[in-house]
Amino acid sequence: MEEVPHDCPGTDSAEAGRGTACQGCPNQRLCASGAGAAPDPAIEEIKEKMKTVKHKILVLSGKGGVGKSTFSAHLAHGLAEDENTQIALLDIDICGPSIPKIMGLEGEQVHQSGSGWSLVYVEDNLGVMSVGFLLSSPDDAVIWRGPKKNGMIKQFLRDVDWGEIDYLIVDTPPGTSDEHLSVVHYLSAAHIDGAVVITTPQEISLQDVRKEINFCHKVKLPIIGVVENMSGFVCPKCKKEAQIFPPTTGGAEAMCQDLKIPLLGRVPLDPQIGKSCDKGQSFLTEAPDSPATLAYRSIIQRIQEFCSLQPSHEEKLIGS
Amino acid sequence: MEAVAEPGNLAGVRHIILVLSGKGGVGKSTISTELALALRHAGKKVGILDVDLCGPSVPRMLQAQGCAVHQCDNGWVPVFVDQEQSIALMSVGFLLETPDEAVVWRGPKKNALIRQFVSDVVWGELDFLVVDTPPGTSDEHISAVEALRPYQPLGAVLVTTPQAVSVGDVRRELTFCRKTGLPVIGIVENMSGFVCPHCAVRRPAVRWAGCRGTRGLHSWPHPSVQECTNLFSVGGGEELARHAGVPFLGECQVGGSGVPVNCGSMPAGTPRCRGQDRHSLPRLNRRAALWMNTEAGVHALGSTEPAHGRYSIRVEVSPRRVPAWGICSLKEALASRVGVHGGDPSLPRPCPPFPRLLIFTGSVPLDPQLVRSLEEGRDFIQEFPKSAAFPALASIAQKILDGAQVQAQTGTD
Repeated sequence: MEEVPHDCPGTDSAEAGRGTACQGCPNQRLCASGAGAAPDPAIEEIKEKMKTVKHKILVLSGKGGVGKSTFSAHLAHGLAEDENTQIALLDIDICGPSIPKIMGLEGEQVHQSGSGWSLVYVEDNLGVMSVGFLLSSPDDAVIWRGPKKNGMIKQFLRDVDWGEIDYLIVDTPPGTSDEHLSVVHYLSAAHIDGAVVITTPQEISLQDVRKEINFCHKVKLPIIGVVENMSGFVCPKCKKEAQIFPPTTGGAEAMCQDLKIPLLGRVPLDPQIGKSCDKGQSFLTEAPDSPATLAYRSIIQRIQEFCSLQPSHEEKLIGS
Repeated sequence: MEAVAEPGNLAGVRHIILVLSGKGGVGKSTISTELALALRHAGKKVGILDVDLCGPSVPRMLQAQGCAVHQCDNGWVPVFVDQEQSIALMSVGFLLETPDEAVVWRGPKKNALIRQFVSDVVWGELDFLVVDTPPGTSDEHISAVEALRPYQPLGAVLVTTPQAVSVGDVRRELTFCRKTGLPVIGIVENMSGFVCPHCAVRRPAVRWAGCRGTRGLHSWPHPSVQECTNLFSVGGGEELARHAGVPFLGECQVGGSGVPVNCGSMPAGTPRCRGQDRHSLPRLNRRAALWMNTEAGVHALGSTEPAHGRYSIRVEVSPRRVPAWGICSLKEALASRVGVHGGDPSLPRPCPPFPRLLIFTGSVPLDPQLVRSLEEGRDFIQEFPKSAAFPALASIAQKILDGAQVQAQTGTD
């Protein structure tokens, strides 16, 4: 709904329906009666849908351009190398959906069936969903305010026919805003395994990433760990290392020690990564010997270990 | 809605520039800060409005973290980052209790704060207000454009990196600008290449960027030594410019003690002239880029047919000729070269000035020194004049100044 008054206090605030900004809002009566504070029925519906999804991982970063989509895509590729696991990648970056390009699925469309929207498959065991598939042209801009974006995320979670999935990876936009609040809100009953936070060594990234970590604490989202991306560059000619994004304040390692969060690994900057993403290929298969590939694989393994240690959500439900 | 300048706290601001990008992490805040510094060095009074509420980066870049915002009768007083009060800054970063505090707000609350920033900050008399935005095309952007519309912003500078993934998002941002009626001043391609500092210094005979202002010929390393590693892929800015009908001034790379380059290119199949110019130049090795001085080897080789008043120009540079630090502007290049050295009679007349011509504003190289200095909040331009990124930024600032002047003279387009 786009007719939200500019100073809307929020449907679940104490001022809902009663504030001066609420005058004239079509939902004023509803909010004033307390209906806004009632639990959203979509949460239960999504919980049902998510019963067939074993593990859910969010890929977050406060900062833009640190490699969330790149990492999400390669996490998906890496996990999907085991043909017996079923992987799904959900891109909730509504304004800047990069996943279709990185996965080589530009121009694909979403099909609807009786059981819901079907994922777009890269491989038999790797399906992708993104708002990019709903746009008719690469120039189409999604110029939506928060409430409409939230509606889209709800639709993704509720209306996509997920099927039996071992890992659902959710790629998020930068920041700590509507999309993040929504995905955590809608998955609140469905148990998220945890969040992987991506950063670069620069303080300007770490500054935003600390905020993201605070956000995770606020919404009680477990943190699997931090990945330091673009950490050093090995010149392909002379093989010497150079620091492109200097860690002036100790990089992610210092931050992780401070905040007592595991550092999952460091991925060096390999020019081939950018090229693979542009072509829509998996960097892990294009450059299997690169130090970056080794770093990715080790991080993916640690994430798998973390997830396997988590009680599955059925056990949690029984226990609660 | 007819845009009419309203009285208010922005009444004393002469020009407003928004720095946008669909993509995150391309360097919007860096470019905004450096653009503000470059404009200040050109003697202008500048303000920076940071509407990135979730990730306010500008205070740190100008070493203003922890400053408090004071109230006065007319509203909030912006934070001044220098004694002469030539740079005013407003950011949500100043309103947080701790630097790690997360701003976890939904759209409506963000919109309210942005409107407050526009209406309640006492900017005073400013020549330029640079508005740094978060990535995307959402609440912050819609609200900022709506709130600033009555003040007729000069336009938007779009920042991209060469990767196709960035370009994909920036194309959407172009659509956003078109739909909201925001003029696009130009496109900047950031992080254009990087030269490994270890490889590049292998040839001691090469004299580099330290020779500022000199015009002599220097020996240039063989391109295979001066390897440019295209860290973030290659070709994105050019493709974007081609797509948007914008002349592309080329990519620029530097690193270590390298010399940055601004070179031009245009779509394949363009006729090239075969002038007998004594400066006529072999094909540019894309991977060995040089900064061009307008007098030192810019050669317009041909063009596409003018369409909608726009031209694409091919300019090539000899790798054998290392010009000194300089700023290449497409306009200047054409003015000095077209008709003089171009043997091709089909070369166009010099381009009409901005804002009618949508100009690719320039490329900025990736310079780790720049990154380090920004992290530490130093006045980059004062302290690192030898950095390869400096000419790029000065050039971009100059183009904006020229364009602002033209607009002031001709009235709004």
